[in-house]
Amino acid sequence: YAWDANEEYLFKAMVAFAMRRYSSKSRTQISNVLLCNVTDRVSFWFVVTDSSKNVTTVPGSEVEAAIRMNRNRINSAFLLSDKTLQFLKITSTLSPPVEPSTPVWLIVFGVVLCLIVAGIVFLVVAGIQQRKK
Amino acid sequence: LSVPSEIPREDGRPKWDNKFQYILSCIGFAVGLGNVWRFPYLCQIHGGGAFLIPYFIALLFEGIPLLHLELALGQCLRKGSIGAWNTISPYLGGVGLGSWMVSVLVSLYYNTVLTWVMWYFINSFQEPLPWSVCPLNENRTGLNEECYESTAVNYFWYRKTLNITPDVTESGTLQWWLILCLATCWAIVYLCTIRGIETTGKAIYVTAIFPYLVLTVFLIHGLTLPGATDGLAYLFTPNLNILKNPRVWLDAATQIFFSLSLAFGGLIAFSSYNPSKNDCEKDAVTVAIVNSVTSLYASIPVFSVLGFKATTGYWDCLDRNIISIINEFDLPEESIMRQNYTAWITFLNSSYPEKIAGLKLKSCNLQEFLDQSVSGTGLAFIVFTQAIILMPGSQAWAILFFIMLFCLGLSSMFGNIEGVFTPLLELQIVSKSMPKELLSGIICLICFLIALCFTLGSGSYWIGIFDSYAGSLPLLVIAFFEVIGVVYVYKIKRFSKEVKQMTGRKPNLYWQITWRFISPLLLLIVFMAFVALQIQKPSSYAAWNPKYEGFPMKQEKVYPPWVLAICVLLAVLPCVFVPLVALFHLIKGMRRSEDTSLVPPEVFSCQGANS
Repeated sequence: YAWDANEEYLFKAMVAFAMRRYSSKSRTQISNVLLCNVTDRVSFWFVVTDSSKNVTTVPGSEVEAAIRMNRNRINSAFLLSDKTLQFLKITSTLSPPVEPSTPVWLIVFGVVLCLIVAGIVFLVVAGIQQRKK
Repeated sequence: LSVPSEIPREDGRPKWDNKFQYILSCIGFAVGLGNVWRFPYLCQIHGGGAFLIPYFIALLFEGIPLLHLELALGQCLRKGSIGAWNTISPYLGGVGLGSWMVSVLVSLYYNTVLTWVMWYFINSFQEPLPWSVCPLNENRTGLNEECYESTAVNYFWYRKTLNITPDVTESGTLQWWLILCLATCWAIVYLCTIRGIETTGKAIYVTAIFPYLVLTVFLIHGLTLPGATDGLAYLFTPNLNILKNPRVWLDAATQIFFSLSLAFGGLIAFSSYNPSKNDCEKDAVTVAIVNSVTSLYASIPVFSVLGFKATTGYWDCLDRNIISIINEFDLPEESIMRQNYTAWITFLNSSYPEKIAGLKLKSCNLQEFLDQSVSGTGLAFIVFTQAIILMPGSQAWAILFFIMLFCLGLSSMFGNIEGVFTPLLELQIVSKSMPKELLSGIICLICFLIALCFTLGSGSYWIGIFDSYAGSLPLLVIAFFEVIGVVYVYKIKRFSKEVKQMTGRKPNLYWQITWRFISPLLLLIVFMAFVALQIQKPSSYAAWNPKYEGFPMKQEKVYPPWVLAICVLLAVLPCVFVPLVALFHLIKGMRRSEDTSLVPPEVFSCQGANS
């Protein structure tokens, strides 16, 4: 999709949403989020102002924390991922790999071993029976 | 003693259900893991298509004659390797004993390779594949350090599978997961060889045919992958200058030799269960040609996949560079594509050289990716597993690939075990009342217990040692004495007469010349060249040491003296039986020289050898 003014509006809305979720007392409006230096690459700088405190900007660490908390919501709003939507200086937290309670390989190993032992027992017993005849 | 050949002999010796089973067993024994991971590598480093020339010359003058010799020998004398050589001449009994010893040593370490294959197989049922992601470190802040510096695939192989120690002298501990897999592998081998060829004959239908099916599937899939044609072109582009290098000819000769599994005694054991009126000449040619064709056939999917992997790596490298350039210059997305990358780079380099230099772009070269050639376990467990991650549906491909490797190795194990089993049955060590199941169980149990040393942390270094020393030099020596023994001690004229009795026609000029002169000469030259090359440089090995400065490159270490002593022992032990047994009989003969009951070896014939 092309990046136009509507997408910028959505971005401002998402940042405002993130700020509100992060600190419940925040009253951030879309008009508080300012974008600048928008390039064709689609990269830009943005700041969040605090309307209650005489047009000062919210400290960068708060904005970073807010975005980190809501990263997946922001990503899915734009149908992007951590790799395609990059916030400089905000690294993505790594999710631990899913570890099932019993390792899968033990289960497979158990199945294979049971089959083999069954085969061996069958052959040995058949051999003993044949010798008895 | 001469028995008319029309009367079928009821000697209680097991026989093959049908001819197809026998041929399939020989093919399965010859076609092993080396066809998949050694031949394509040799083709690649020795000038592609040009390597086929020394390969086929070696096949013609060394492979087929020796193969025919062994099959005819087993079929004529109807005994395993020890019994057969004792029958030819008591002085040559050492040859049989030597090949029995080699079969024992190789069985020990070969099944451990199958253990690794099995471990990867049972791990392929996980989603995502465990070798595709790095695990996190202890405090969950980042990836595991060893994994991060090398790759996830390397980490899974060296740490999660082998748990390798940095040095061959550090034994480490027994890895319990490998012990479980080793027990399973030996249980599978026991299950299939429990009654000798009665059971292996049935199992071979699966283990010999299934790899071809999987290779075909991989061939079709591999050819559809992007970059496959680059890999294939790289493999088969002939570079005829390489033929001037004697190393190429040596590698071709040794590859043919080890690929056909000669001098193990397994082929003699297989053909000893044949009826004596069997055309062993045609069998030998068939097995040799099928083996070589399989090598060629297997190299096509291998190189398609390697080409795919190289291309993907090259594209990743390009993409990373493109992203950094786009970020730096704030260009619109998709302005630089892979196709016009070089044009853009030259333009930017001329206009903003400092910026480009500041980016520290890695130079991406497809040739460099293709040049990373690996053979052996590195090919299967590192390179191929990495390529499989990149394919869609990677679990299915991983499962298929490892089942194929397992079947290839298992059918070769059958030959090895048969080479150990058959002579033991004939030696009067075991009583007749002992059931075969018990004997094979005891062999498998003893081998399992000894092979536990290979599940130590340093196990893979030891397998490398066994492979280089026990599975190479003694075979050359034994094969040389085989040919000399048959041609000059047993006398080629008698042998030709017996082959004529079996096949119905006298061996023609090609066989006569190769058996008498060319094959022994070739073997001697190969042996001397082999020894010369070994002596030239001190034996070293590549160790995986996370604390090494050049990590993830492997550290070149030299074997300590006691390990070198073991290497020499492994290489010399099977060979030393040949002179020892000859000496033993010589002394025995001299002691009994008053009692002139020394029977000249000319007494028996092919039919009457079965006493």
